[in-house]
Amino acid sequence: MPATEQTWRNLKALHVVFAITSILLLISTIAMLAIDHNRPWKKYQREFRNLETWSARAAVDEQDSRSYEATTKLLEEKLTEARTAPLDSAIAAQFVIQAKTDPVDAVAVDRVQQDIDVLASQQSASERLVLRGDLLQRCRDIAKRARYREELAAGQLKLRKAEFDKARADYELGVSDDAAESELAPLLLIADSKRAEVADAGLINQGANSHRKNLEGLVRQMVAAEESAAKLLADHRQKLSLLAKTVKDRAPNVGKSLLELPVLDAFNSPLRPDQLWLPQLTLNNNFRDVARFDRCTTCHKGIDKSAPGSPDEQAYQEQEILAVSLPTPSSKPIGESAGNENNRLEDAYGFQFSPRGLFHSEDSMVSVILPGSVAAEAGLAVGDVIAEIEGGRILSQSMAFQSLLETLTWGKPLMLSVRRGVPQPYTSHPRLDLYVGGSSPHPMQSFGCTICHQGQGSSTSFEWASHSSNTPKQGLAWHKEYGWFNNHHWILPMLPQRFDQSSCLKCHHQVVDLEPTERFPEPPAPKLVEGYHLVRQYGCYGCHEINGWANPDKRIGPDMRLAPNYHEVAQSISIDPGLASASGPVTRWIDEVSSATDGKQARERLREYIDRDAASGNATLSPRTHQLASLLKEPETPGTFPKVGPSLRHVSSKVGFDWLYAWLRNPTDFRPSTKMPRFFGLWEHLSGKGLEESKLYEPIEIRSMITYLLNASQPFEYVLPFEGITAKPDIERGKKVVQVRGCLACHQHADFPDAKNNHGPHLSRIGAKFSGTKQGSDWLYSWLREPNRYHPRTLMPNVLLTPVKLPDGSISDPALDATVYLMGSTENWKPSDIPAADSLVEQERQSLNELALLYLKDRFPLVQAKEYLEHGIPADVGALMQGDERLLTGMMDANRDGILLDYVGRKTIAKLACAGCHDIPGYEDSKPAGAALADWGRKESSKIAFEQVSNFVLGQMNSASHHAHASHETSTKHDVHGTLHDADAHASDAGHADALPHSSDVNKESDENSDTPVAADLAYAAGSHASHTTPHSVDPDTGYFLEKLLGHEREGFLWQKLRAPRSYDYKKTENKSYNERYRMPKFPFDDKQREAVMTFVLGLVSEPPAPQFINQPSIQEQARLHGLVVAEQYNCGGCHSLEMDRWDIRHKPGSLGEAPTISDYPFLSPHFNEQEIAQSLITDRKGRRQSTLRGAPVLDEKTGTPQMVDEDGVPLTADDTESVPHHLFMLYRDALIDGEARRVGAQNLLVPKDALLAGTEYRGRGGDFARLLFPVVIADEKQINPNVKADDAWGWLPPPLIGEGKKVQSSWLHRFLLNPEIIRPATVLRMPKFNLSSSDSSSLVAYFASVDGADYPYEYDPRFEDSRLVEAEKSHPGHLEGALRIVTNNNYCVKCHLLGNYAPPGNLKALAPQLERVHQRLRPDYVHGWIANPRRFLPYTGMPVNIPFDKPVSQDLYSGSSDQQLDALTDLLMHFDGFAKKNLSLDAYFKQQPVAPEPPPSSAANVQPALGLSAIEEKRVDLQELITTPPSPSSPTSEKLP
Amino acid sequence: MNKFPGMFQSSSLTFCFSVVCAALCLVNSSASADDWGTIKGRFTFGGTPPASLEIKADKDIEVCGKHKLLNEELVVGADKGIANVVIFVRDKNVKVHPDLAKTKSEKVILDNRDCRFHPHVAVLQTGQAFVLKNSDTVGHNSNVATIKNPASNNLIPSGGEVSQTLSSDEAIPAQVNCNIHPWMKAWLVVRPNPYATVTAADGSFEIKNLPAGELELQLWHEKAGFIQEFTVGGKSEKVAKGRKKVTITPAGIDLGEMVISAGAFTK
Repeated sequence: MPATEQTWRNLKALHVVFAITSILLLISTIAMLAIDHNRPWKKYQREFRNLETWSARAAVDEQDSRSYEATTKLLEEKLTEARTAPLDSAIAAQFVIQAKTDPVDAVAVDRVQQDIDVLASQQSASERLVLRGDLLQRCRDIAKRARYREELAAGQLKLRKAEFDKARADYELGVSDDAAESELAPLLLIADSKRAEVADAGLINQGANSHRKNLEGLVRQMVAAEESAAKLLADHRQKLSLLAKTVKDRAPNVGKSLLELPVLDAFNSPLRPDQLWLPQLTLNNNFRDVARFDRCTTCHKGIDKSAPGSPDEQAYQEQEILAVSLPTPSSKPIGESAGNENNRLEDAYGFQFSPRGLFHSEDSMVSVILPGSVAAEAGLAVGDVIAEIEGGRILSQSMAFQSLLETLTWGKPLMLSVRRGVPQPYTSHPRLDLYVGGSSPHPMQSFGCTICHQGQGSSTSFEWASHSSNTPKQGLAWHKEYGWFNNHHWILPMLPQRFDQSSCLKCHHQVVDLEPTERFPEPPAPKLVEGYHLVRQYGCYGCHEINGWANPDKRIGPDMRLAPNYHEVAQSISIDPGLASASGPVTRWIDEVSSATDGKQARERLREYIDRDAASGNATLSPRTHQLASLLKEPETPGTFPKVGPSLRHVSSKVGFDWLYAWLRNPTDFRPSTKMPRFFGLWEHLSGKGLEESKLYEPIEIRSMITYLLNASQPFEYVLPFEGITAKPDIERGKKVVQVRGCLACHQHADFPDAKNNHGPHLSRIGAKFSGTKQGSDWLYSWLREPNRYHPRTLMPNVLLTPVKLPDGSISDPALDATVYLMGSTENWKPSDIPAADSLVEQERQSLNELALLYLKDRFPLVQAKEYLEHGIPADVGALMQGDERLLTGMMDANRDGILLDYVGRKTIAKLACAGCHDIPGYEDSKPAGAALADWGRKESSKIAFEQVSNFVLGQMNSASHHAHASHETSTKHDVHGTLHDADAHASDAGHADALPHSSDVNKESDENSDTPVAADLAYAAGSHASHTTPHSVDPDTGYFLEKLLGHEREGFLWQKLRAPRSYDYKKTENKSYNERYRMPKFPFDDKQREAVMTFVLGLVSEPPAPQFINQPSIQEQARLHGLVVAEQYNCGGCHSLEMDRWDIRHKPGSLGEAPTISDYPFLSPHFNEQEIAQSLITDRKGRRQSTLRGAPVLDEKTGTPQMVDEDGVPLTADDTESVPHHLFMLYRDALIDGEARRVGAQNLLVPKDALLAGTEYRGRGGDFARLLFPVVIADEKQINPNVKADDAWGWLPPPLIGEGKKVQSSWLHRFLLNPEIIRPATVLRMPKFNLSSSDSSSLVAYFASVDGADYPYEYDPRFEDSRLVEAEKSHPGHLEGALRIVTNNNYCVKCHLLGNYAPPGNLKALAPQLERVHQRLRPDYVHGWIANPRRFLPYTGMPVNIPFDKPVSQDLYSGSSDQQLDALTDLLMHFDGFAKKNLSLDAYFKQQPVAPEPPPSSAANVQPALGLSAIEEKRVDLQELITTPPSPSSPTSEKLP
Repeated sequence: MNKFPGMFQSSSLTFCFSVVCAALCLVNSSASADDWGTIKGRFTFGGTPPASLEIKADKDIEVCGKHKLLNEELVVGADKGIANVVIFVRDKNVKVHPDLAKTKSEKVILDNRDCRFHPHVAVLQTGQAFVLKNSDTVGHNSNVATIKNPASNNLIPSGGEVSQTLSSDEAIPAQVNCNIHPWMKAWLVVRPNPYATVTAADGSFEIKNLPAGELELQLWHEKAGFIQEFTVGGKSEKVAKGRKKVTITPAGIDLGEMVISAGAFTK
């Protein structure tokens, strides 16, 4: 085929195609480049760079301002002044003398001398400057030459040494070669002479060295002043130059701009994504762990920036609007800087504006603030934008100048509205001390962002990072601004702000390690910790196990599980009739296992015994006992939490049918503040058949539960009242007992509205609970006397109420008094609408049958079930039957109701899992009934049954908003628990489906109900619900949860589950059986509590990161944390202060007065290091210094509230507006103020109120009860002694346990906690006996030791050693005898202290602890310090200084120095037992007749043998009084009844 | 009848009050009469004075039980004069009469005697020697609750004494207690100048040689606190925070009989 020009395709067409594709390629390339160039994060990076440059410039401006120049000038002047000053003649003369010692410099020295003289007489400053310079140079030259000569001398010395070494080596070689003596002698001679030369050269060198050093030292002294002045100037200048350099580095320049140009920015642009690579903190991507890449800092560039000079203050805080009151000068300032407005501003207020604003150029943005100026004190800060002045918007700087300098009333403060901070994403992370900061526990480089916040860390765009909105409104705004959407496909969306603390649980498995600590006084995760405590208090773990262990070696999260119920098992076993034939120890083992201390050994033995019995073939014990024995075995990782409800093992001894019925029906009816949830009457979601069933069955269920509980109740032995009680029980006395004997530390009562602790139940109606039964009052008495008799593990302690001798001589029983008082506390509450206990009406009987059949059907075929129900179970069948159905054996018509009720009751109790919180006979082996929560925070929403709940909630809200106004009043009541009226509301609302919790929330933001199309496609399809309620139409919080509920997310499920747990049955009851319904009860949480619980539960993800990230506290810290848990369980803090308040005050220098001069023992002096002192002297911009005070405000003795005084310490009156208010503060730890130490016990500090307002107040832990009683005991004591000193009252109350670890011996404290003895006779109440286990007690002891950094578990002190006494006796004969003379002298210790069987007579309130037992109780070091100056340890103590530091006392008793006397007293007290045993009788030491030794304790039921008649007996009465401190003001001096 | 034997015996040097008065008497003749003046007055109780409450000693009865101890919070004489009202000049920089300067070198003694403090109110100048003494045969301690000065609590053995000086003045009298004998209470007035006094058993007081001109007096009583209201010649006068302004003239002024109503003492 001939070649043609013809091509396969039309070339022209191809050209066109090519051209078009080229253009398309070009366009797409350009588009690609453009899109890349315009990535949103670049904009943020540029903006942030501007922000950084601006801040650096502001810092320069601040340095560069006129005050900077003034300072420069001042420093320069100082330098010149120093350089022209005449030389210090004394130093100069010394120099001349020193220099003259070396004649080589004679000429130069003469010249120096001349110059000195000339300089002294020279008048002209400039001449002096030159002369002085020359003179100093000459001096330096002389010193230099001296150095040169010293070096020469050193060289010589070296040479001589070398020669000596050679000579010596020659000689030694000779010796080793066995040279002849004659050859060796000259060698030795040479060596000797060389040695002498070395010595000479050494002397010369030393002389030269000291000469040079002296000269140099003197020169240094001559120039010291000018050098320090020069250094100040250089430092001053360097600050500015450094800042200027920062600006240069940060500011954009041509090079940078070039690299940021399109296309070029693909190569090494200054703008680039930032990335944190975290290979250890892996991310689980569908069963594969991959390294985590967090690119969040690409946009959040300022996240780790701290303010200059502070490691943890945010550089860029989030925007907020502040009100600032700016004082103005009294008249318009007249200055030379009239032209420059910024300078005028600086003159008048001490601040300047930046030439242009940062985010808006017209902003009036503060760029300079002079330290200590009016503006600084008013609280303005660099970077603030003044938005309004006196209510007028400021739109430009000229407006601001106008308002600040022209149109104002001079002398009157201006009200400014100030915008502070920067918008997102430029802000710094809050709490840089805790997170992100380099020195924080979570530095950004090792933790990244998403391990805590979740989200998609690798994304660099807002929408794909899976940000989570905190409210629907925020989501909407994000959607509009960034095109944000809720990305369902990323399984780890960022936590919304409300749940951001949940993540802490990943690594903080103990949770209490998130409570405030010494290092982090600001609570790190308050919401989460609150949630944890709620879960603990409400006992959620009773049904929902939270297992923190994947296996015994792997911890995965918080561990909250029920402790093994050994004592329940033991009690159950104890009534086994087969035990009758058992031998002695078995009963003892059972008792020991039942008791609180948990006899581990006894438990093992008991189990072996039962197992042997079971295996023996002719078992004497019941099958149930055999079954229970396995529960006595200790699991590998036992749970630790107790059941939260009271024991019901002996419930029939306590309450009757009526009360139980009312209580079970609705616990809040009787006690509005109860933590018991509500099981019945939760019908708001029900209608039709479902509602009908509930109404019929629930009353039967309640009755049947009561039947079972009362039937199963084990017998109880009541505590019998004391014998010999002669006073009639008295309500008023009882009230006093309840007030002062400790009840109010845990309980509330309407008679004492100031008592706020709710550790135990509210007591206002307690009498109504027991009044229904014959034995109610007996039970209450028993409970008050010996609570552990009813429940060995009860948290209620034995408050050790023993008979008291009244002023009229009669003997009263405080427990009896308290019983009559409490039995009278009913608030007229009575159970109402209670059915008759012993008969059923026909309808009820039918329902009972139906319920029984429901259960029987589960077990047997229907026909058989009906047969059994009709005729009972035949005896032969029943004998072989396992399970509850056995109860129906032998059922006949006569006992039919009772047996069926018992059977249904047993089933119902199992169904509702009552045994999760209560000890119920027959349920010892029950298991938690609810879903385990250990990883609920990751539960897939597809596995969560939302049922029809969305329809229910929306329907509820719709109908609520229909008649929102109408139902507002009643519905708000639902959220307020605690008032009595509520109970009525609850009760009456029980049956009404339209009574809606939270309807009050609806329409809070009615302006928000614009149901925009945007909202519609966000998270859920609003259109599918024919309603007008949307997440946007309700308040933001409800809206958030509603959105999550409608979107079927777990937050929404949990929210509704906690609000109305049964509502998931909405429209479901029609097709499920009655027993298949949801069983979770409704807990009385308010919105805040609910969210806290959710924060905790959502944090349970069971995803522990690598071990190095998990918080693993030190052993010491671990001890503290364990102790905290135990202390909370037993409410130690209810009475005792465990930590004092901490006030971080910011005060003006000197405003707390000067530190007094105090002469005291040196070992009691406060210790502060240089750094701490320097820190306390730093004055901030506002002209304030920071100090940390630990202690407590002084309380007013009448009101018990913190006392306010004026600057002189004079109490403020209510109408006083002139005085400057001050707090009076009692230090419990030495403080550092203005560089000076303030000692504990020296004086109360006068703290200006504004210093506290400017700082932070952290409330301590515990001590409320002591504070509550403070004014009470003072008022009581005043009736006896009007002159009582308020501070003394602290000594009668539960003491603060500050420093307890260093104070007492560990072994003593351990025993004391288990079995407390009387220490201080003056206290108005005794330390109660708690039902602690031995390990609980150990935890507490370790806690105190850990908090104080004391030795634990063993402490050593040489003072414990007997050998020490021998030494002491040697150096000071009569060491201990002398000390004993002091102790027993009429002037000293026994004046107040008990010693052996001697009790100083007199007012109980002035009695002090038994000295005989000090050696068991206290640590020697504490005793030593305490005797030296008691107030240094307890600032309120009335114990005086007995042995003053500088003046040893009573030499006739012990001759020696104060220190010796102190040592002797300490030695005696620490060895008192040994000493007393050696020295047969103490009698000789007492001037007074000692009292007779105590007779053996009376056997007659604890009655105090206080009724003797003889004189000796009378004395002993006093001693006995100590043991039975009367609660009311009654002492030997009081004449009348209180 | 003087209920407090020894308290106002002019010969006793243990009382600051007496010391000051004596000193004032001495110097008065030599000072220029133009610039200085005297102020005097008397506080009486309006209404029926409460019966004085007897304190029954329950400690060291063999010593303390011998004396009749009374609650001294409110001591009203037979003619209704109120003892122990504290009157002092508030101004700290007030000019001091030249001859009064030497009062500063006198010792002020607060004695523990007969199980009570003598005097009940001690008046002290800053820098003046202050001696806490125990003339009893039993041990006492003196818990001095000063506010501006470091508080102290020393045991004072029988026959012993502890001396100290206080460097700051106190705006209200400081309480002194004995913890061993809790009924014992005294007050300590610490002022930077000698112009402070306490009313005598008949309620009268006098401060001599005050600089002429306007001064502010502080009126205080331990039970009533600041004396904020009283009646003079049937006319009620209110003094906020017990601060009464007076103008001293060389002729001297007499505030007259100031009747404080019973209600003021029921706080």
